[in-house]
Amino acid sequence: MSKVILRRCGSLCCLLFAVLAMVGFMGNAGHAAGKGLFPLGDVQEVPRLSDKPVPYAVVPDRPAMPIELGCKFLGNGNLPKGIKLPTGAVWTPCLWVFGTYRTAFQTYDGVGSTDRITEWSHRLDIFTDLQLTHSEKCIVGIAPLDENRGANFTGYTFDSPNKSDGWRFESGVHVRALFCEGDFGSLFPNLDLMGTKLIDFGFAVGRHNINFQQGILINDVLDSVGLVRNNLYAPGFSSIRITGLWAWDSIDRGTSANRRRLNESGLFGLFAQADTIASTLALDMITIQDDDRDETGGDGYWIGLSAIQRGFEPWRGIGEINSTYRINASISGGDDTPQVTDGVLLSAEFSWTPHASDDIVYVNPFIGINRYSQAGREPIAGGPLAAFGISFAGNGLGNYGTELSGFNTEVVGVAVGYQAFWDNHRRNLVLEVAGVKDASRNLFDTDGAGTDGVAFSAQFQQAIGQRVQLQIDGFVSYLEGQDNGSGARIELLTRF
Amino acid sequence: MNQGESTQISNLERHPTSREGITCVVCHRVENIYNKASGRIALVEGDLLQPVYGPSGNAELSRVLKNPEKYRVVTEADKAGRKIHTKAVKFAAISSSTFCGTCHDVTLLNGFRLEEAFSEYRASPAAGRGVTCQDCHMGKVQGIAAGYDVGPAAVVGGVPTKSRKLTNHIMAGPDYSLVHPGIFPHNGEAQQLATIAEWLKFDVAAGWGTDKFEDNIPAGYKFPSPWDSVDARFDARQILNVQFKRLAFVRTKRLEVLRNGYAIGDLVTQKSDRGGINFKVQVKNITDGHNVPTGFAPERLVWLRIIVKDRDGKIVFKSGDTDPNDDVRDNESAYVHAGLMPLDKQLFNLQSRFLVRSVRGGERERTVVIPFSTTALPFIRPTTSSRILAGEPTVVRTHRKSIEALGHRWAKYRIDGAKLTGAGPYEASVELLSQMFPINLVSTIQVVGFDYGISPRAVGAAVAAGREVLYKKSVRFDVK
Repeated sequence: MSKVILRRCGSLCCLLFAVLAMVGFMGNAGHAAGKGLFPLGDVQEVPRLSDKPVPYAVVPDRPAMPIELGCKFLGNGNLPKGIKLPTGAVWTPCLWVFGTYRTAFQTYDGVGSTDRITEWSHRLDIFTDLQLTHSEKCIVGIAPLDENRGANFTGYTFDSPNKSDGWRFESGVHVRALFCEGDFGSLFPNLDLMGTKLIDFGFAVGRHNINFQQGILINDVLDSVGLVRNNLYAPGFSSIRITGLWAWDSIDRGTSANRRRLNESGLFGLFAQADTIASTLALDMITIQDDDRDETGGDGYWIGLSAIQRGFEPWRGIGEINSTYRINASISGGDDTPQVTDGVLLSAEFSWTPHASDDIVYVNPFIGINRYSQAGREPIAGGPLAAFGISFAGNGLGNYGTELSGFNTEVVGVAVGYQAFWDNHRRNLVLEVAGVKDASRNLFDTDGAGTDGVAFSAQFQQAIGQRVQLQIDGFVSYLEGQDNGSGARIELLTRF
Repeated sequence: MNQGESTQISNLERHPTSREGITCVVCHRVENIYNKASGRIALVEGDLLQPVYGPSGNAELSRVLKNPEKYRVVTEADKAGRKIHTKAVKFAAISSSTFCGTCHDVTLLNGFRLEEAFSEYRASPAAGRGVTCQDCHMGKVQGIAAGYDVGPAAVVGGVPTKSRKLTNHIMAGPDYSLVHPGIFPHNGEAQQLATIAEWLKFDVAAGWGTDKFEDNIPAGYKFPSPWDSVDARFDARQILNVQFKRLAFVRTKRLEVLRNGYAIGDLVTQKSDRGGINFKVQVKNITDGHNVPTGFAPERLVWLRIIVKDRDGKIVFKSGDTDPNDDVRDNESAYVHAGLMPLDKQLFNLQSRFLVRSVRGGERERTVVIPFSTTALPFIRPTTSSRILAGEPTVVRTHRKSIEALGHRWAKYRIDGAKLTGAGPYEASVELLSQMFPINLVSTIQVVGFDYGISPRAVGAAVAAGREVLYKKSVRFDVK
């Protein structure tokens, strides 16, 4: 049926119609504030401050960590005096253990799957923070129930394409974070007794997530060392940050289908961000030097540019628009390899808040020229398109994939969505329609062999008590050349 | 906090030391440099007789203590009289900028760089010249390195100590008191006259204790205890007059430091005809020590108020005016947010912005950085990746809009020809204003309540009442 509909409407026309309908529908939320269906979420009725005294509310106790040694995390009471080091630094060690447990029942049949998979999956992330000062700390993070790949989460499979039903156990000490960070000025204060020298460079060494350009450029857990200088300034700039990075291990390249891990010294990054009075600008550059093109992808160069601002109000009813513009480019050191290809991804993110509510309307268009590839991505993380819509982003738990491919960047597409809030933001609902048109051929073509697709997605979240969140997701998708996709999941997340 | 009190009880129920705020011991009972500690520093516990820590050491104190009768001090716990610290330990680091940075640079445990005054200073020309925070903020003049006065550090038992360099401990900043003047500034006589709860019942605005009021008390007027005694009311008014003088003095210092940080530069007319008026105003940072605003920059409101009138005095353009809550008409104004007032599109406001990531669609400004779009269960925990390298957490950040040291910004205004009423002259009033935080913060936090029985409207009114005009200029446009 999907192929008939697509042929009759033309997939491009369908997509355009859906986008315009959503934008027009959501845009009128501004004029219809408090009346009828919109805004969908809670409405804030009375803007004037009250003349009645507001007594102190009963606030829940802080959610303590399971282990808090040395000092409590954001607790009250006396602070320890600390230990003075020969460098002049004063360390007040505190040890905190915290984490997240997620469990989900989910069924998925969509992009990249040959048949439906239905499963119950679990994920546990435990972190230990040795806090030495307010700027120096060391973190160890382990995930004892998964190996960071969709098929490798502890759980029970009810139904799968390869009929591997039953229990699977992926227990082990899987180290996801092992790093220390700090500030040289705080570590070696005796080098600058008056505090007038520019020695407060930040640093981080070890294994942790590196994410720039909202994950479009890189979203990977790397073994690395980095140096940063904050609060630089130049005429017209309120603040400039410059970060240098060298990664020597755990560089994950490619998509789910052709993933390779580079375990040699090879990634160099320079990341800069600056605030002007109107915008936040970022320029991020990465190079990976890799001699083994056939095995791990070869050399590559990446550049990301972005500008984030607010202030454009096309008409009064819609309010001020938040906008983010990005250009991300990948350049292979030679011919394209499966992991490193030449390509450019142009994107924009627009959002606004309907009057009298906290709801969010967003429209995120993007254009791929050739096939852009990320510098690095964690296996369970989504592809570069994940930043634009929930339809392109995985959940990071089990085999529940994406509604539309987050890796296929040779497309023109858009995600349009609405997020509504209720009950003091403890409940929210996201409704999204997203679509892509294959950019490797004429945009108006629909020959059944391309990668066109459209998806309708919903995500519901409800906070329960202080530590638990319920999430329910669902989608249907129409994919060119494939069977329709659909999926649903229900998840409980517990923080401790 | 050190008494283990809840953070959510009234000051009326707290131990008196919990209400004292930043007192001597916060700096002078610290024996370590904790560097960028975000204010979480350990004090050396002890009573009045225990040592204090300062820049000079023990020589002068030792001389005073050798003459207890002359200076009328006691150094034994079981003796009656004026007790005094028995030793002054030399702690040279108290004179360093790093010491100020232990509080005036705040990074939250999730990696959020909330206040960066010390970090900004360290990269500044002032630091490069070796000028410390103390040189500008504890000298003769608030906000500039004008040297130090010389005189006795203390007058003990009516006898001055030896003269030496004096550091001015006013340390004025942009904040001002919102509470009842009977409660703050701290006043020993006020505390002896009445409790906090009783002071809160004293109606200052009505004029209790003034001749004008007391000579014309309306029939049947009821006073709460203990203010049903006319003597008590007159005593209270005398104390309040002292309080008002103190608050007025501190206000002069606040204006001093703010005016040594900001300036209005050039006013440039770019176009002035029947088709419209375009002009720009230069706002300058005249300090070389740090940005302005600095510190809690996302809550410091510094903006231009522009009113343009025609030859008949009719207003044809305004920017920087306020809504009925006294908020400027930006995105955080409740009236703009409700669609009841238009956004002030030409507002020039140096307040930095808290930004929160939306589930998709980028970021949006929020008064308080709670990322409820990306999760229904916002949860503060330490960061699990290095936020030092990124300079910010993943879902919240600050868009800094302050002016760098010795820098400037141009505020540009355009008045459409359709708004003009004919030939000029038109006159623009240009005011640079400072307010310690925006009223929309009151709107946002009112859900947890306010102490002292204050209403949100009263808090907002007090904040607006403390607003200062730092500079005022005017410019004339001749439209033919």
